[in-house]
Amino acid sequence: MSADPRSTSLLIVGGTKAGKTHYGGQLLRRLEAKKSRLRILGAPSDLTPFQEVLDRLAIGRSAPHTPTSFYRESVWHVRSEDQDYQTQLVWPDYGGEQIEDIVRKRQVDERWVQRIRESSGWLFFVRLSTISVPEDVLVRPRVLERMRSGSEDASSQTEGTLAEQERIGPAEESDRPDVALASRLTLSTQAGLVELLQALLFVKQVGSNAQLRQPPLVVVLSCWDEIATTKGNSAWDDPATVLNKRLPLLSQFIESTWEEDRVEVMGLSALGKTLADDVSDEAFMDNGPERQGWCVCKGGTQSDDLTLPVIMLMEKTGRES
Amino acid sequence: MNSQCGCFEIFKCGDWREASDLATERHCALETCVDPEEIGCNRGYEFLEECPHWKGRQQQAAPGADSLDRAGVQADSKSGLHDGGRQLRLPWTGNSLGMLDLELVTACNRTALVGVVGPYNSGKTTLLTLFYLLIQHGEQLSTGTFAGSWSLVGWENLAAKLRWRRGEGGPKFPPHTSRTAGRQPGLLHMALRDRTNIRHDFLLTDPPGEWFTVWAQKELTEGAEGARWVQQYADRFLFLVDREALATKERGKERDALRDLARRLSTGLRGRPVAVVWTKSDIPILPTIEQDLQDCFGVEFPNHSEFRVRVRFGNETRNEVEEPCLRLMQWAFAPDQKPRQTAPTLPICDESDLFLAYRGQGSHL
Repeated sequence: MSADPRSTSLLIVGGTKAGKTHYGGQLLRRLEAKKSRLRILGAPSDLTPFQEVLDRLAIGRSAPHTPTSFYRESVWHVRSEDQDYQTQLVWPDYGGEQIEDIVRKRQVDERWVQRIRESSGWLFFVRLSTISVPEDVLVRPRVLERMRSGSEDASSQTEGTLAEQERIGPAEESDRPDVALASRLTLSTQAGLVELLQALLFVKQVGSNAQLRQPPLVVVLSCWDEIATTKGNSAWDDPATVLNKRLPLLSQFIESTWEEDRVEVMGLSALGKTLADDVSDEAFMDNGPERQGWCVCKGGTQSDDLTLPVIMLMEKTGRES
Repeated sequence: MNSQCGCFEIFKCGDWREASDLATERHCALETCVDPEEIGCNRGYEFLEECPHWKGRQQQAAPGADSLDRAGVQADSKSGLHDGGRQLRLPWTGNSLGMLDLELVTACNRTALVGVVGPYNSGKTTLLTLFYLLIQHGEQLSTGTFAGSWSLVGWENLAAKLRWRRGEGGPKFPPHTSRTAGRQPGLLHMALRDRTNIRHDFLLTDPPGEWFTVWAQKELTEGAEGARWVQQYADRFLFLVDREALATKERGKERDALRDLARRLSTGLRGRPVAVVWTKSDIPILPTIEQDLQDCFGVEFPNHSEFRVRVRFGNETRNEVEEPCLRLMQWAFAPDQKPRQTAPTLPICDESDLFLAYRGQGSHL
């Protein structure tokens, strides 16, 4: 799809605080270390776009939120260790609000149109810990007097039992500010993610009457360490199963829209732990960011190779036009 | 048609203005382009600025040359999205679909229209909401898995009423869908993909009950246009029976009204399938009333299916709440089983012209 057939332009899609920037910085360090399956050829000509996150991680702190209107992309010449091909990886960093705006404003900036159409594969970031599925009458029923004379009666009855609701416990949304951010979409967050994928497919001019082969999709469940999922003897829960359990509507949509071998769900903990933005994590700093972070592959296997999500997408990308 | 509110063209809502007014406001010379600022150009131009009919503000064409010459690392202008660059409009609002919006669905697939028929307060909107909530909870239908929707905002607007929200109290029934309500009746869309990977599109009507009340009394009366439209075009019907109404002092009148409505619907049914849905099924009614109605439905809707649904108020089991509703969904979202009409046999006027005489592979020529 890209102008240069050897160039793999991955569309990195994710809302605010989805973990794109941290992963970009960690990925760059892994590529440079040349110990992962995917390696960079030479040195990046310019580290500027990721310098801030690299500096912050080097002192054991998290990177600040990427500014809303910020967009930069970096081109890395990479080579896969076990495959005899080289390619250019175009890696962006941007404020996640630009993606959320697609659904909120229902308009797509011309430059994003171009990026979406040139992209040969999509890396779709979903941070499960910031997404809460609202409770409804099916899962938490309440005694309601039947409505006989319109909604006004029902409203007054409901307000009368507000104290009861407060006693029962918190409602759907979390107090955490990052959760509030993730809930900005007018739709519930889960439905918003489905709408976002529908919008991207429309812009990409891909019909979904038949299941899709292009563009391939890798769903990255970011900040996996924040999810209360069990790790058995040697494996985590299967990421696709976790997605289906936590966000079934999104999971079903992906499953029915893409062909089975053109979509992958992976877990990712780019840092391996949560860092604060104002206090340095000494252990993280001493060990070095390049030794931290891992991803969870199909079946729940953990791997320290943070390039795997990209490799997975590249293997599904461009080899079949 | 006002595509923003999704109302039917034949029912101009309170916000209705003539298309020419809207076109003027929106700087489009083409009257048929109903809402270019929101859903884009109906002539197919991706960006409004490309359309010769667009008289809007001249914007700086910003094809993004600054950001797209990839030589190492480049920075976009920090002005980002909001610097007056051209915008591609998504051609759907996410809200319930109006008539013109239907092209999105019907242009590329055979679509089944499910007509939801029932009097005021019979639970039509609540039933549709339950459909969506069950899908959202990951319930699997044997007829297919969720494959998208062009009216997610419309579904979510309904679902919000049955959800818990901080500071807004607990769930409450969806507001009555009246003819004058802010939320205008429209069509809700749902796509499912079956096990053979075929996509099936469904549209469900969410009409006000008054339409059917006046229609049952007089077929051609004003205010019943929507009900006639549903009867004319729906592929299958959910006929809702409100047990709560049948348990009141007005039960005799309600029984008659339901029978009138059933007779009205059956006229011109043309064999289309009907599911009789007893809503609020936990409410007991007199056996004679139930039997009277069943007798009526047996006559008016031969071979109809019957379902009993309810919502959860306490500790009702899955067998009482989810399962009956899922069975109804299997029926409503079943692939079209209507036998396809075979293509007519066209006579061959000139057998010497092989092109004109060709009738497909396997034919005699």
